[in-house]
Order: sequence, then structure tokens, then C-alpha cells
Amino acid sequence: MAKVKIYIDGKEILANENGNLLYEARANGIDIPGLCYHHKLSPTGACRLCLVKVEGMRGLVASCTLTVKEGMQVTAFDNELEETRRFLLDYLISEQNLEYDGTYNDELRDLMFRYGLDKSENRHFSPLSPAKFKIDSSSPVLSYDPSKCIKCFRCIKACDEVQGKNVLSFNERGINSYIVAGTGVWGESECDGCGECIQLCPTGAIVEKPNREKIKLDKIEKRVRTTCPYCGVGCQIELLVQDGKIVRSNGVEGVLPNNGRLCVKGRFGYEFVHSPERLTSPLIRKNGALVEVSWDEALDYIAHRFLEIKQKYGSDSLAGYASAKCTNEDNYIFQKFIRLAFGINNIDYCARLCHASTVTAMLKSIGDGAASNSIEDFENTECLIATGNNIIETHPITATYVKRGAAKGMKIIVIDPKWTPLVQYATVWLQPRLGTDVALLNGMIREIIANGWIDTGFIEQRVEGGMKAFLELKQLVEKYTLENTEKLTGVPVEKIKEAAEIYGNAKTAMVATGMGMSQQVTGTHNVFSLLNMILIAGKIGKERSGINPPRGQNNVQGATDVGCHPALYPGYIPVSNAENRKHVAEVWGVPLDDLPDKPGLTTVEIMKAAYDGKIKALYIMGENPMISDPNLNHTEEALKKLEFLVVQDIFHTETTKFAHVILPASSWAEKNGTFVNSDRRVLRVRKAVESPGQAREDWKIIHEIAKRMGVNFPSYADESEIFDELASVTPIMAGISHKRLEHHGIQWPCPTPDHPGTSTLYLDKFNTPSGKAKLFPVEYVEQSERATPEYPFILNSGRILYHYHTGTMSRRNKTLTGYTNQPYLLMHPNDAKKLGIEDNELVRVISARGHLSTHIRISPEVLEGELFMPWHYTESQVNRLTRDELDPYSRIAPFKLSAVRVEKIYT
Amino acid sequence: MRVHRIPLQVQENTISNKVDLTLLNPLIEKYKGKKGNLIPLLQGVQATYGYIPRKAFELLAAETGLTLSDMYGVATFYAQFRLSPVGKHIIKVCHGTACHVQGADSISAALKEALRINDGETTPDKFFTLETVACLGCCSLAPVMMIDEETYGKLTGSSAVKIIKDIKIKETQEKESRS
Repeated sequence: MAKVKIYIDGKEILANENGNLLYEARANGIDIPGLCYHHKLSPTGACRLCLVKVEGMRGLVASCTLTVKEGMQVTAFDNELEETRRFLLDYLISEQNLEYDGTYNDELRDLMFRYGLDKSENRHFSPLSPAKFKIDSSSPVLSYDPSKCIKCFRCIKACDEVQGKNVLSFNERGINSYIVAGTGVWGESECDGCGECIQLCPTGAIVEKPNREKIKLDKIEKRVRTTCPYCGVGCQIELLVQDGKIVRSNGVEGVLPNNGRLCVKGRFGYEFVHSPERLTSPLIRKNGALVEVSWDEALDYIAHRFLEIKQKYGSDSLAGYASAKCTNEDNYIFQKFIRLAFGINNIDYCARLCHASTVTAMLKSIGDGAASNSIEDFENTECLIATGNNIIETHPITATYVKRGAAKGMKIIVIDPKWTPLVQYATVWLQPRLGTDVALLNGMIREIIANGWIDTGFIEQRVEGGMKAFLELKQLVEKYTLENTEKLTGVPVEKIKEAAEIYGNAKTAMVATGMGMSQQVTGTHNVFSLLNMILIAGKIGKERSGINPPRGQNNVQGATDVGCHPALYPGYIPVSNAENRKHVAEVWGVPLDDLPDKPGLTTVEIMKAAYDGKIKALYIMGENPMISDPNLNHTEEALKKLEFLVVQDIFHTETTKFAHVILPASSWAEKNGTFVNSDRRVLRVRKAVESPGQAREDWKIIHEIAKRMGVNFPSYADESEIFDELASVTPIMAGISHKRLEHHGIQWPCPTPDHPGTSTLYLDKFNTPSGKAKLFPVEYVEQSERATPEYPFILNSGRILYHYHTGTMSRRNKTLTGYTNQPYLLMHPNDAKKLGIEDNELVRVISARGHLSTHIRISPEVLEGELFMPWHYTESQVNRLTRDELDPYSRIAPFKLSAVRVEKIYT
Repeated sequence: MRVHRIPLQVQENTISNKVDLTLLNPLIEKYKGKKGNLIPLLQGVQATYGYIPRKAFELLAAETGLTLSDMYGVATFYAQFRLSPVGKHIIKVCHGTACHVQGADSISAALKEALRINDGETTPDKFFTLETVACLGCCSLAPVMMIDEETYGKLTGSSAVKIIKDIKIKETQEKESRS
């Protein structure tokens, strides 16, 4: 960034061109006071404390409202300025409730001491009798005390400019004015509890509710910077630890991916760590009952049983589920264990159930299965297509970039059969019927081609086969005329035209593709079709243009990166690659023959093999297939048939019920390591608190079992040594080490220690063997599962903001359950009328696989004939209804499409 | 309304009321998408119901894209807007300088006691709403109050109470004779 010279109180300062004067002054150690300014917000100029004198300008000016200019001469401190500031502060304080309980940072109070106004003899204004304000504590997460509010606008702007929610405003006028959310009651407003306003409040008017009674800032033992354990955004958080427990979580300002922003889960979802329900001791099932045993007994027993089964039935009978919740180091050790101790590639995890199809299509078409661009591009691009991706609820912080972009004029196209909050920001919302994505995208492609919105140069230079390949695609989509597409998808012609025009004409465009696209029998084809559109429009391989599939879990990206995949070694190298196997064997210090070269079974295939009696023993680390797998009745049978099941987790789950041995593991707050987020950013995880009872770090447990099975891993001193070994077999991370990650994350590929990391992929070439992208023209195929007289509805499933996957963590937070903790079935009002069902009525939902009961919510958010249910809830397990019929290319299951019927329950 | 968010549970005692929202359709049609429509919309809602129901705020938010908090902020900024239903008759007790000197406080106190409501509230039978205003502009008659369009001057606490009692008796009799 270009620099300009400015002078403050005679001192020469090299400031960033177009920088904010107050920001630049403070960044250079000149501590001009100020309360309403925050570097994330537009300048307000309300508190007037940052007044300065600038040569050539009349009077005193608020430095927060000025942009630095070359040669600017500024006086920041002299008697007149300091007296004016003291006077203004004195005025502010006279209206202020000065009680302080030590639970929050109070910038006003700090200034009061700095200017000696804590002493009454220095004050000119006697305190005004406080107006009768009521504290609003109706929100589950925060309370607002108007008597401590200085009306600085920081909370209002935090909500509006930073988070794009616009929930807060001023109420009343003059001295009686105060902040309100929605129509006056915080708990009834649209506030979703992200707490950005708490983080930016300078006076403690808005404070967190959790731990309010307990926390004392002067008793905080440590502040630990780590990465959020929920979704794949990878937000950087700072945990405050008091008496050995986490008492608060703040966003870390100034670093990507979140620049201090958090969502409700990141800020308030840490309570589960200290839940009394945590597993604290190894348990072995003896005569049907779980008995607490010592670590030695449990580990010896596991090693003995694994070896026994391996000997009796062979390596083919063993398999492992890795975990997208665990660190790269844990997962790396886990895959090494499965490959060496089990001697087979039967290792997979939940990525198979979320983005397997996306990854399969992207690998084939463009060469990498990860996000092509960086998270900031969601703010700076001209156009965004969000398809099958409820980004505001599932990736709330990525969504803040989107909303900020929308405020600057970004055009948003939402493609979703169900209403999502992003529709409120969208230019156009296409609502196709479930399972018709390929038809819709082919229709859009045809429209783009017909209007000449293609990028011929890009197709010729960067697409395999050039115009010839393009013509094949053109021919295939010919029959998807606007009218035909409308017939197939239900999306009106005008909307398809509008969307194609916006995307086709945008200079830069991003695509966010989610579970709605991937979790279908045609998942891979859906993404192929999407990539076809991106490629012919030339909207990839440059900054602010590309495709990002936001990843669901904190480390779902990393777990595959480090080789928890039945067909890939660390760094996406196929198991069949002999040269790589040779290298890995050398690093691992084992003979080449010890490394299995045949692809293993995938998640659902492992379960099916267990059901068929082919898999006898399963080692599950931090997964809960008894909620997350499709067709749970089948999964249940499969788990029951296992001769030996080891589950390593932090809580009892629906899956531990079937385990022969349960091992207590450490939660994310109790371990060191790294996660990789959705935009390939490797981020540090740091230990904040001790594990409860005898719980241990996952990798240490695996290490012990390996040793007892006669496979000796090196004795790693700490996680950074594991990472170094990992980096040496993972070319995309070869240049990364824990040391380099100290201050900020690095985006892979990062091949050497002096490489800065890669924010945008494919700038020069695609990662395919030819270096060019490939088109895969695909036809729309009607779904095999469809509505019948017996099962007349199509059920969709998905996630909500307040809960997380199988709920093991999120449902153990009072703040999150305070918002919502009940399963429901969303139904269109017309369908409800036909069935004579009232809102909130209890119903039974039945598919050919199973049934469940839940309450109805009537809303036009879904189309007629379609239904939606969140899948987090154990009391209404959606996956009792889903199918395990798989996408033939990626082996993903169709969670998004099940034919069901709904019956009233008469009690 | 095409779509609506599932709102958090709303407590019974707040300003959410059952109102016929379809009455607002022409108003929304007229102002939707127009710049500077916030105040005309709020005025239109108030003209329809006599106050601005919470449900109306929510409808306007969904239909026009205005945020709840912006509308609420404006509605509370201007004295002309009401957020709760008003009674059939609005009593405005003047507390201007002249009336204040002549004992407006005792007039308000007497009315509050007789009606068993506070300033700004409405009687449970929805008959009277009591309000304090700054000046009604007829200081020579102080202390003064206005009921609907009628002005009453030179009041005492008991004469003010008698006036509202007479109104109530008269209307009750009319109602009985009608039925």
C-alpha cells in the first residue's frame, strides 16, 4: 500500500494513503482519545473527543472524520485541545451511570481516569438525575442498560455495517433516546445473538449475559487465541479463562477470515466444554453394561481385539471413521494408523456425506476440490450465485461478507427450493422444485449462450477441447429452452432470463454451492452443470471470480487434506500413485509393501459392508453416524452386527450406545493443532483449558493403540512435530509449520517455507493433468424417488443457525437452546389446509424406510408438495426417513430428497 | 405476503394485537419501492387502526424492506405516532405554563384516579385515553382540557371528573335506548 508522510505534533509519520487520521495516529502510538470511532465502522464524529487541529482547516476537527493527505500538519495534543476534551468528557460523564462491576471493558471509564475526572473536585457538571430507563434483558444472550449508553452509534453500525443485519436503531429523542432492537423488545426482535454490538460497545451498556455473575476481568488467568469449533469459516476467537474454565469468547480483530466478527455459536457456544456430561473415563461394555476401566485396560483390550479380528478375518474386515471436528494432527495420525495398523484404506468420514459430490466434480473438472477463492471475494465481487446454500444460517460469517457486498451493490442470485434469509438481500430468487438443478442450470447455460454472454477467449485458451468441447455442451443444452426449463423446474421464464443476464454480464462473479446441490443422487452432475456454466462464462481463474463450496465443519477441509480418504493419501495423491507411496513409506519408516494401494470403502459403503457382515470392527473418532448417516434404521442394524466397535468422543452420543469400548477424548479447547477452513486457510488451534477427568487428546490415544498393536510411530514431542511430518508428505502444505501460523493463517497450496500461500487458485492454469479445465455436459435425469399416492410429499432436510449437525455440542449450550431447541416440519399453508393440520400440531412423518413424529410449522417458505426439516434433533431423526441410495460417482447419499407422507396424530 | 420468517415467541403482554392486515394492501401498493415512504406509510397505518400495531410493522418490513428498528425509531421519535390502541375518546389535559400555574397537575391526578389509568394509557373498556399535552392555546381558560374536538376550561378536579362521567352516562343511555 502506498504511504504518505504526515506530521503529528511535529513527529513525522508514514501513514497509509487514504487512511483514517485517527486510525493512523493510533497505529503510530499517538493515543488520541475517542469513543465513537472503531476501525471496522464508518466514522461517526459523535463523541468529539478525537478533536485535533489541522493546518489549513478552521477550528477543531474530529480526526476520525479526516483522511490523511501528504504533508498534513496535525496538532493532537496541546492545552486547548486537552481542556476541550476534558470539558466534553465531563459533560458525557454527567449523564452517565458510573457503576462498574468489572465484567467488561469500559473505555469511557478509562478516559475518566486519564483525565482525572474520577475526582469530584475536577468536575464542573454535577450528575444529572438519571432518567427512568429500564434494562432490557429479554435477549437470551445480552442485556442493554440505557443508563450506561453514550449513544456513540457503534452498536447500530456494528449490526448494520459489519454484520449486515440492521436490527438496531434509536428510540425516542433527545436525552430520552436509547437503543432499541426491532420494535422495542430485544428478545422479540430479529436479533440473532451474534453479539457484534457487545464486542464494539465502549461502555458496557450492552453486555453478555453468560457468566455475568462470575467473570471478573482482573481475575482472567489467560487469553488464548484459537479457532472456532463450529462451521468451516474458521473464525479466530479469543477465549478468556478464569478458574480453569472458559468464561467468554471474543472475536479476534484484524485477522482473517473474520476480522473480529462472530456468530452466536462462536461467541456463546463454548459452554459444552465444561458440561458435566463430558466423558471422563474409558468405558468397556462388560455383560451388556458399561464399566469404567483404566486407560491401560481399555487400550490393551482394543489392541487385542483389533489384532484378533484382523488375524481371523483379514484387513478387509476393519475400518475407521475420522473426524471433521478433530485437528489435522489428530486426523493425520488416524489415517496413518488405519493404513499401517489395519493395513487397509478403509478410512472415510462425514465429508462423504456433505461435499463428496462437489469435490468429485471439481477434481475432475478443474483439479481441486476446494474453494477457488478467498472469503473476502464474497464482498468484492459483482455478482454472487448462492445455490443450495443457506449461507446466512450455515456460514454466518461468510454471509457477513456477502451482505456487505450487497450493501455496495453486489447482485445476488439465490437458487433454493426453500426460502432462506439471503432471499431478503437477493436481486432474484429462483425456486426450483427439489431435484431439478441440472435442468435449471442447463436452461441458464442455454440462455447465456443464446445471448452471447460467453467468454470465447477463456474457452479457447483454458478449456480442454476449446470451442469443440463447447459446441458439444451447446448441442446438449439446446433442448433446455426457457419454456422447457420452466416446465421441468417450476421457475418462471422471466426469472431464469434475469438470473442468466445478471451472471452472464457481470465482470466478476462468485458461486457458493452448498448441500442442496451436493446431497442428491445426482450430486456430481449438479456440480458438473454448475461448473459448465462457470467455465463458458469465464468466471473462474481470476480474482473475485470462482466457486467456493463453504465447508460444513471446522476441519472438514483439513481432514481430507491430510488423507482421511479411502482413495487419497495426504495432499490429494491417489493411493495408486507408487512414487508417492514410496515417499510416504520412507517418511513413515515402513516397507513400501505395508502401504495399501487399493482404494478402500467410503462412509456409507463401510456401513453397508458392516450390515453384510464383511466389516467386523469399526473405530469411530468423533463422529455420530447414528444421526448423521442416511437410512438410520439400516445403520442401526449395521452397528449391531459389528463384532467390535470403538467410539472415541467427548460425550455419549446416539452412536456410543452400540460401542464395545468408549474412549474419552479432549475437546477442541483442550488441544493444540491446526484446522483448515473453507478457503484453504490453515489456522492454529491452541489449548485453553485442561481436559476433564482422564480425557486425552485424540492423537495420543491413537498413538497408544498403535504401539500396542506393534506399529511404532515416532514419539512426537508435541503437535508441531506431527505437523512437520504431515507437511513432508502433503505437498500442498509443505511450506507450512506451526511457527509460521503464529499470527495468521496461511492458505494452501504453500509449497515452500518462503511461499506466502495462495488466495486465488487457477490464475495461470487449472490443476488438471492438462492444465486446462474440462466441460462435462450432463443431461437432466428425473429423480428415481418421487411423490406417489402413498408418499405424496418430498422432504428436504437442512441446518439452522442455532444448532450444529448432530447437536452433540450445540445442544449443550443454554444460550443456544434458549433461542430454539425443538424439531419441526415446515409445510406450505395450502398443504396444511388440505390435510386439516394446524400450526404446531403433532404429526407423524413416514417414508418407505422409517418414521418419526414432530410438530408442524406452517409457512410459505417451502413450495406446495415439499417439506423441510432440520436434522439436528435426536428426538426426530430425519435420517430415519432418508435413503442410502448413492450418487454413483461420489457415493454421497441423497439427504435432500425423500418421499414421505404426513399423518395427524390423534392423542 | 409471500414469505415470512418464523419469529421468536412473542410475549402476550406486548403490543402485538390481532388486526386485519389486509386493510393495509392499498397503502403498501401506493408507497412500495418509493423513496421517503417511511412516514407516509406509518401515517397510513395509524389512520387505519388509530395506532401502529406491531403486526403492521412486521408486514411493512416484509413488504417494503424497511427494517423494524428504523420504523420503530421514527415512530417513537414523532409525538404524532401511537404504538398502542386508543380509546373512543381522547382526553388531552393541558400542562402549558398557564394551566400548570392554575393547577393542571390536580386535574390530571383527579382524572387518573377516576379512570384508574396513567398518562398515555387507555381504559380497559377502550372508552377513554388520557394524554398530557404542552399547550392547547386557550390560556385564558386555564386550566383546560380537550376531549376529542371539544374544549373545557376553568376546570377543577371534580368538574373534570364530572365531565367524563356525563359523557359516559350519556353514551350508555343512548346505547340502551338503541337496543
